[in-house]
Amino acid sequence: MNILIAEDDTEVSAYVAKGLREAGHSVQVVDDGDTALIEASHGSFDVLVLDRMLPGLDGLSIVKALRATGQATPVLILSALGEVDHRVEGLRAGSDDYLTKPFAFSEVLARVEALGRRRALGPDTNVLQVADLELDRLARRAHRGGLLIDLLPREYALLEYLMDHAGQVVTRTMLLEKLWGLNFDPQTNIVDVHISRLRQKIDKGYDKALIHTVRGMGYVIRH
Amino acid sequence: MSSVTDLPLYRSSSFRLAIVLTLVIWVISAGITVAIVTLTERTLLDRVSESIDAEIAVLVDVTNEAEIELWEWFAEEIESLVINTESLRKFDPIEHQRAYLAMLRHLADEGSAQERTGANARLFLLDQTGDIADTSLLGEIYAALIFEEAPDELHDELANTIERRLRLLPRTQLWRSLTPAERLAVIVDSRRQRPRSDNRCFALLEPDGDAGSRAFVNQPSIERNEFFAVRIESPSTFDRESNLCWVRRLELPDNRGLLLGREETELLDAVASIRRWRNGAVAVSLLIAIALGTMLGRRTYARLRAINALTSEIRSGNLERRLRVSERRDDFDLLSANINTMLDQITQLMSGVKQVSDNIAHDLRTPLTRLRNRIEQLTMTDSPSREDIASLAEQADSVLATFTALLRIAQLEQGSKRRHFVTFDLSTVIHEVVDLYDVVFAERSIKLTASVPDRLNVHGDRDLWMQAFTNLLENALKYAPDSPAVTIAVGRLADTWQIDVRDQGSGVPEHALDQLSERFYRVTVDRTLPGTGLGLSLVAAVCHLHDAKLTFRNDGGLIARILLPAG
Repeated sequence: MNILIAEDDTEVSAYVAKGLREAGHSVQVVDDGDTALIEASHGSFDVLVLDRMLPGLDGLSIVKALRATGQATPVLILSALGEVDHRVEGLRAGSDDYLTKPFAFSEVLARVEALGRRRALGPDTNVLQVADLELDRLARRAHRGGLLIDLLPREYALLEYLMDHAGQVVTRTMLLEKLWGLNFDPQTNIVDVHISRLRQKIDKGYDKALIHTVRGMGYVIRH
Repeated sequence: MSSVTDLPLYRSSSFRLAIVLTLVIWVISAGITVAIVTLTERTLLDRVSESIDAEIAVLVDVTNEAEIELWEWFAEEIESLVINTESLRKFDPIEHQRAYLAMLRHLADEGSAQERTGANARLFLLDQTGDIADTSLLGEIYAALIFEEAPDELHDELANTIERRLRLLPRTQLWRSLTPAERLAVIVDSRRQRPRSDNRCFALLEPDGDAGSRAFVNQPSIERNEFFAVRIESPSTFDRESNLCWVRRLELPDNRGLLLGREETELLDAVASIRRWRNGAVAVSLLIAIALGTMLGRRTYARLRAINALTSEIRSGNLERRLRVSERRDDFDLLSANINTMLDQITQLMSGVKQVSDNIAHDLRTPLTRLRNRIEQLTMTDSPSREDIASLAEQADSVLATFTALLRIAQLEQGSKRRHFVTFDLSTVIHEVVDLYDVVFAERSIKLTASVPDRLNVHGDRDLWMQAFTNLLENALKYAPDSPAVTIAVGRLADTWQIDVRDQGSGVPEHALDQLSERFYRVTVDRTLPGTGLGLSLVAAVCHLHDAKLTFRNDGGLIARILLPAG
């Protein structure tokens, strides 16, 4: 993917850029808002990673300017302002995701890839499929190998989210935040507990496990 | 920041406002007073002026009639003469007179020289012509002429009439030469000679302004529509009273002036004294207004000054001082009370900040020091293992989590989140949290149940309550791992929701109950348990933000009880 990073803290931008490059993306880094807007306007990027507080134009103004001109490139805002109100502000301005500093690189990577892929996927499909696992969004049912899997509503939602991001790492924070609306980190590993419950139903008794744990990052559902 | 210096009185806006206000009120009230006085005065004077004008009009009519009167008087005498004559009794006296005059005029125009002289003399005597050279001489001659024409028995009466006529002649002649205004003056003059029967005022002014024996003084301050007040001194030595007259001046052709009017001493005295009172009242009320404005302004100024003095004292560091709130409960008291409340809040916030910084000093320094030491150790290792570095990152994360939690609590204590409060159903929040956690509790064989009313409307922040209930459940998980069940029960007490989170663990020592929500407080010294020691502090902060009360008690386990005002 082609990624633009606008961040005035060179250490942070170097660290994020390095990680993203290692993950196989091509990255351009700018360190002020005005340049960021000019570069972003060309429209050749798949994802924009913008710091909220930049010299010149701030991140939110850049998003607003882009959205006003009809540019739909997905935007991830990075910010030290992490309260729920700030998040809401960021999303209202037209950004697609909001990540609070300090963050782990894995979190950035997961979210950037999620944003880039969402764009590539195009409109939502009604049936999601990973290997022999099928999820029918209309009927709200899942089958594996033709057998109906009995899922509780919360389990269904979790599976749907994972399959929506099939092949992509989904971090614990993403699940807490986007699936359950928890904007904080509970101390108990409730994500792990829910995942293991889901695994019991999806993977138990099958040769090939579909839900994988990615150490230090999160989970991924894939072949 | 500019330092507060003492404000001089004249720069105080409240003082200026008071002065300006009282002056405005003064101007308005003085204006109204003057207008009322002036209007009354005018009404009174105008009424007098009108009646004087009416009288003058009558007088002018009288003078216009004076000539006619004179003729009538003369004709009457002729008539009585004629009526007394037997031979002329059959004659209409007026017709006779007219025929007689017509004959005389005919003779004066057309007759012989002798006839003309005779006719002229007769006409003169009958007041029909004025062309006689020597009246005193001719009188005898003409009398004789008329005697000849009249019957004998009329002689005596004719003689008497003509004698009186001749005596009056000079005055008649003079009268004829006068203009109406002069005649008016003459009448006025003649009336003036009479004892004063009414209250009319007259004065004939010579061209040089002299009023003869009658002294009068203009009172120029009172005048209106050509009328003015005049003080006329009575010439009599016995009658020294001076009269104020309301008069107007008529111009006579010989540059003399005629003052005509009416004596209105009482009215004019009253008007003059009302004017004096009016001026006095306006002046005195100005003084009162300034005094009152100064007083009011100074009062406000003094109270504001007290507040300023105290606030600057407080600013200079004495945060314990408070403004005095009096019994009056007026706006200044409200201001003082608000400032006091604000100071309380600032003090509280400052102590909060101080506590946070103390906490950071104490509770973040330890893990940071540990982290630093671990890093130092690793720098001495040639090839640090991946696990070692991962554990470093974990430690750093835990420090960050503590830091975030501290900031969050501090932010909640500021209370600024209240701006975003909405009304929502708290029961859905509880159900969601229970739904998320029941698998976790189930894994540890703890039964998690909730009995919550269908609708639990609350005014507040949904996310914060989510976190609060999460923390309460986490707390139960952590400190009551052997409890068979954890329940969330909500009941209504009057206008309060009572929300109990109850475990069936071993509870906490009584002395610790009150300290549970203090930051970094832990009942056990077991630091190996994960967590920041801030979970319940955050619950307490959320409760405080929503005006709710958080208490703990032991009753077959620990009960965390929230008393929340029903929204």
